[in-house]
Amino acid sequence: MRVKVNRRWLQLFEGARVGNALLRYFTVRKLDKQLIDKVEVHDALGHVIDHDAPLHNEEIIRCLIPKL
Amino acid sequence: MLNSKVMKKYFYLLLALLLPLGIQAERKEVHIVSVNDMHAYLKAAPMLADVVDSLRTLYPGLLVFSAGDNRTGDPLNDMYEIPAYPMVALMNQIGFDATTLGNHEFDSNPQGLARLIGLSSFTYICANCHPDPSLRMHLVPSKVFDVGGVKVGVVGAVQLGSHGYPDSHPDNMKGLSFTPVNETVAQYEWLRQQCDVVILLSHNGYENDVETTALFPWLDLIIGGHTHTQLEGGEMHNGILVTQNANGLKKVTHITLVVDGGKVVEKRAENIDVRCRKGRNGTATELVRYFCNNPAFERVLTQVEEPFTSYEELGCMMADAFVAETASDLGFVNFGGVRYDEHPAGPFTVSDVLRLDPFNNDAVVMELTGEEFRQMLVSCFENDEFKLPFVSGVQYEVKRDSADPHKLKKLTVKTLDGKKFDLKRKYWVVTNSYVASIVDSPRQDQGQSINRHTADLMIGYLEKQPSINYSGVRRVFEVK
Repeated sequence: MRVKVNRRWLQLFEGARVGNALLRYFTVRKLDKQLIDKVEVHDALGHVIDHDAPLHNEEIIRCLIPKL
Repeated sequence: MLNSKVMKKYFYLLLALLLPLGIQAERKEVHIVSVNDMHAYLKAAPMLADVVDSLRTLYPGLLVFSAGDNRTGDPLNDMYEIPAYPMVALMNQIGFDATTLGNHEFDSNPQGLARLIGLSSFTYICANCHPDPSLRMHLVPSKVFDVGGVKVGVVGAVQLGSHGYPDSHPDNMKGLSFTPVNETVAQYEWLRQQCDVVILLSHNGYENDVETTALFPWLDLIIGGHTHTQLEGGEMHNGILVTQNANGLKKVTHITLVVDGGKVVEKRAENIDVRCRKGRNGTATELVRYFCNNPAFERVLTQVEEPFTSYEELGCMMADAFVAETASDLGFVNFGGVRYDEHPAGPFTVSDVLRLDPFNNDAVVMELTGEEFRQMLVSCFENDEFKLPFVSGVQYEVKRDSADPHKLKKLTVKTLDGKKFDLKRKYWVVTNSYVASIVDSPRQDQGQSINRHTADLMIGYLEKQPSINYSGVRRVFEVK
């Protein structure tokens, strides 16, 4: 399935969760994965969602990358 | 005559004073504590019980509802002798009135769910799940609660994935059929005629709940779950209050509905923090302590003939378990997914499995060509701290770049008997959801979660083996 994280579309396995999308996003952007736990994620309407939250095809989420 | 006029005046004055009081007496409040997606966060149950106890002291008719996914998230709960019973016991003790089914309620097959429902002292409300009568699963599509004379009608519904059933393992759906949420909820408009308050207990996700508000204006409230969306109290959409919280009992919602003349005239919702609460219910605390010291975790799954002495031996065992339990051709696990490197000869227990694989990763199955599989191994190395993954069904050789050991010059996959591996053939490959996320090599099939934890695959595999011996097993070879 296809999920958009910030401005990047990612291809993920069916059944992926927000945490999986963050892992892929951090991988492709070569960011430090240890920061993932500190990332607050918002859905397209701006609500905070958990890293455990399920995703659906074409879902758009946003996250702010914390600075070291 | 004058006296009679004065009396009349006083009568009307008294009537004018008492009339608003009479109206006031007809206004009634319904108080609800709602939770969603608790995901077996057992440690917060004593705090939740304290919230409910406190509110129940103020509002004796308090209703306590869950919008589903009460289980799945803590092995202490999910791998209990009766899977997920600890959470049910705690919900009984807290005094829940009802829950709907979340997709994870199906995680221990229909028989397991039917058994859990039988052990629950609260009602399971789900209108769009239709169990075969042979399962004896006591679900109700709707229920009317009487709260001090106010009739509160509740209808429940669970989300359906693109395949037409809730997101759980397909084997868990045997004997169950499902109907679309909105099509089903539409059939319960009659609750509006019979009740003062109508609530949809929905495990259908925030966005779908908002869409539902446009379809069914006769609802007063949607208590939502599934997407773990943290709302600030609640949101009004098309005149319907929608609530939902993040998972794991971080917060609950206290909902107040003011009913006047058979209609809801006011709706309020506020979040209450749970985990940081100081107050704890004593009985719930003792129950959690009991469940955390569960002897079932010392259950022996198999006997280890000769000790495990390396990450690779344990990694190969893990990958073999993935392959065997999913009937795949090949499997692999990242180096970091194997959490210890030695285990003595003798019993291998459930606790040993959970220490070896504590991440709650799901198993992901994908159909790959041999070349795509080979590229996944390379990408796993590059994105898992330059450590080589462990495999099942094949072996492989690597040659590192002498100038940069973080680069592989060559990775050659071979069959287990050392023959040429067909790179063009398609194979079913299983790995964990962490690997499926970090590996970004090009492939046609990104895979599908089978909604089973990899630790669960290992338990399933090991309990079928009278004994295991991985001493000296090697499938990854470095050549210079």
